[in-house]
Amino acid sequence: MNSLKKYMNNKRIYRYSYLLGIFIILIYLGYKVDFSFIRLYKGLPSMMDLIERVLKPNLLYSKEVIEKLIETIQMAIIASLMGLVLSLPFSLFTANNITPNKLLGSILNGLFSFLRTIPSLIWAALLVSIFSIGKFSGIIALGIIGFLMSLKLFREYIESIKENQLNSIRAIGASSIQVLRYCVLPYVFELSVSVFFIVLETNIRAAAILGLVGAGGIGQIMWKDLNHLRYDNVATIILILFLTILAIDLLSLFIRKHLNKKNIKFTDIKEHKRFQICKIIYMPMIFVVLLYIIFKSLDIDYTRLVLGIGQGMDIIRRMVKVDISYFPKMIEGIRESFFIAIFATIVGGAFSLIFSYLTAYNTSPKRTISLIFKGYINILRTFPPLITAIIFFRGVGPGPLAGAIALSIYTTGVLTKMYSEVLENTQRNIQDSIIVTGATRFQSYIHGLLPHTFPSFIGLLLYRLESNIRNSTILGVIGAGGVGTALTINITWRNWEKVGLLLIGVSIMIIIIDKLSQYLRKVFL
Amino acid sequence: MLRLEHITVSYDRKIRAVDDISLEVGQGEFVGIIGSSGSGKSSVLKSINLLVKPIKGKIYIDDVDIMSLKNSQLRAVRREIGFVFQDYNLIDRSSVLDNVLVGRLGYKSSFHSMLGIFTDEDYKRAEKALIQVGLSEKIFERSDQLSGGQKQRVAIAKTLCQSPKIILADEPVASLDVSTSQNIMDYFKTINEKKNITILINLHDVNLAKKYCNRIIALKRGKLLFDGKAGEFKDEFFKEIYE
Repeated sequence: MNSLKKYMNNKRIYRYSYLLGIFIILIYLGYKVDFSFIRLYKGLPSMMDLIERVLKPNLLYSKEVIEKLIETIQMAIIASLMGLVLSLPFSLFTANNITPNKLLGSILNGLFSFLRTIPSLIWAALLVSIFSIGKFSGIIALGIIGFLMSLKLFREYIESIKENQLNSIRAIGASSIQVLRYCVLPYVFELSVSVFFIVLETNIRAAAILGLVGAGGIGQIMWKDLNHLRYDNVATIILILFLTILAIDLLSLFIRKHLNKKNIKFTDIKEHKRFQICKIIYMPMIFVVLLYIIFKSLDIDYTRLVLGIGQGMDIIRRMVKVDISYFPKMIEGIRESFFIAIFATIVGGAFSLIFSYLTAYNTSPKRTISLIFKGYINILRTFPPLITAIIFFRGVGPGPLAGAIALSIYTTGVLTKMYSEVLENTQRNIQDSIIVTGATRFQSYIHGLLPHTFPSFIGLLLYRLESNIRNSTILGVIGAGGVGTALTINITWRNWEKVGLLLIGVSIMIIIIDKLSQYLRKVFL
Repeated sequence: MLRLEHITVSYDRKIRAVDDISLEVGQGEFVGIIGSSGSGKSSVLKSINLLVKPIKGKIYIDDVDIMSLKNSQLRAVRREIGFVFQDYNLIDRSSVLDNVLVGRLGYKSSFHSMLGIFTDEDYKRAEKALIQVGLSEKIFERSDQLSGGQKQRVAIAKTLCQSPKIILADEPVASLDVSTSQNIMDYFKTINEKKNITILINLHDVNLAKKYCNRIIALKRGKLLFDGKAGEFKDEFFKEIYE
């Protein structure tokens, strides 16, 4: 009897000491990101003032905004298409179960995972200094992001095709090209529509802020209005952006949901054959038309392009000669970014545990509460953290605090959405098995659902950490702390040797965090 | 027609999944291979069409040493050997017809198959194969809409489309219920008797093997334990295999 009691006691002590440990870390991080309730409190009036002014949007301004908005959407769509089309052939080379050459595959993978660590805003800033200001740089930057993202999604998907599935085609006597055509492509083609929309969702958010570095789109006028303190105009932009992003997310959700069910019904074999022949004719045509549209809208000025490529080569050559003397500055910036990311992950994680309870249909005390929270959460996660950071920036001034709070809010939004979906998809039995003992819904969450789904929560949290690390490196672009400040300053001043060092530092940090998070997921899940 | 000589398979060069097995199978035989999991059944079957490469031994199909063949020649051999998996391995997103037509790939040039062009002859074969397994009305259905037994019948139709000399089946009924299993086994039996196609089938259910096969081969830890007529298989062996 006593030993059982002791066992439970020990377990409790363990749990509390874990919590205490996390709490201490949080306080330390709070100190590091200059967190202070007093500053937050003092900043409250000016933030409220800002929000108040933001709540009075200048609707007359919408015409101008819509024009830029269309440009933004256009940029995002073209870039996503471009990235998707380019990534298809590469995915066949990099997926390690079908790659024709393992060595080539792993070299490409290494290169791409290095490139993937550079945030879109930094790509845009670099490209702007190569190809001059304008949407061309923006499209290329987003195209690169789209390419790297879809490549990763395709590769992971192809690698998840079972060995036996490939064997079943090989056993027929098919050549490796036939294996690709009949085993891999049917999956990849259907997947490509959802990949396109996933990439589009990311790119539309990114496109909205690219204007901050002069790479076209709606961000350009937003930045201008912010500097002129025209908050009514900013409000209009934010409102319109919010509606657009929401609409695109919903469209994407709808299409991806219904995609699985579509199937062309044939009545006889002749019809099937005719369809196959049509496919042979139309598929290349669609492909060519797509390429044409992409090229047309890129609006390429060839002399400028050649000049730009020359400059680009020059920049890369200078970047490779990293300026080691800048090392202490780099460490300082990276450390700050790192602290911001960890702080935001812990704070966001804690809040989302509470919010998820209120948001998920099956745990929320009332259905209306759940609905209200769902709406609220969607607002939180729609805005790129950079825009939220601007609001806090006005309240608490420049420095890591604005960035840390903005990122915490974004993390809370995204994580709550994901985790509440996990809760909703958990088998009813788990919860019921607690409720049948006469427990309340809250107890069934604490003792049933939460422990049951905690590993998935940790998994999601680690994914958020990976994303936060990336986001925290760009917060500095608007002065909200971290390595981004040094990065933008040096890009503006064209100190390419320093930029090279910073980029390598950022990449190494991100890769370490990614590997660590992969390792932790493997150990704990 | 099929001869294995001293086949040894090892995946890590230490543990032998198949240990020095020699076999000879004649035209039209219906052979059941039994054994507990890990006994090397799958490895034996997969080495016959070289999905798994043995580290030692020789495999002859119609007196051709297939381990010495070049890639393109190996593909020509493979197209005459049907292979049925336990987990069906159909392309879920494609229609039943598309899946059955995959069986014709070995006979296609790369160019034609790249574009997805099949001849009338191919279509006829596919249709006939589907009629044989009683699924002609499902021909345009998406294959993820089918039940497990139906999926396995599509997989059989696919191998029939290859016009095979041999069909290898790796636990084709292991994830199906009893009556569906019998139904699938009946199809195998009919194919074997009507078309005189040699069938080698892995089973873990000894009773099914005794009921349907003419010959039983029992494996234990990669070694041959029994090889003889189904009628000669006694219950003592049964104990020995699974203990």
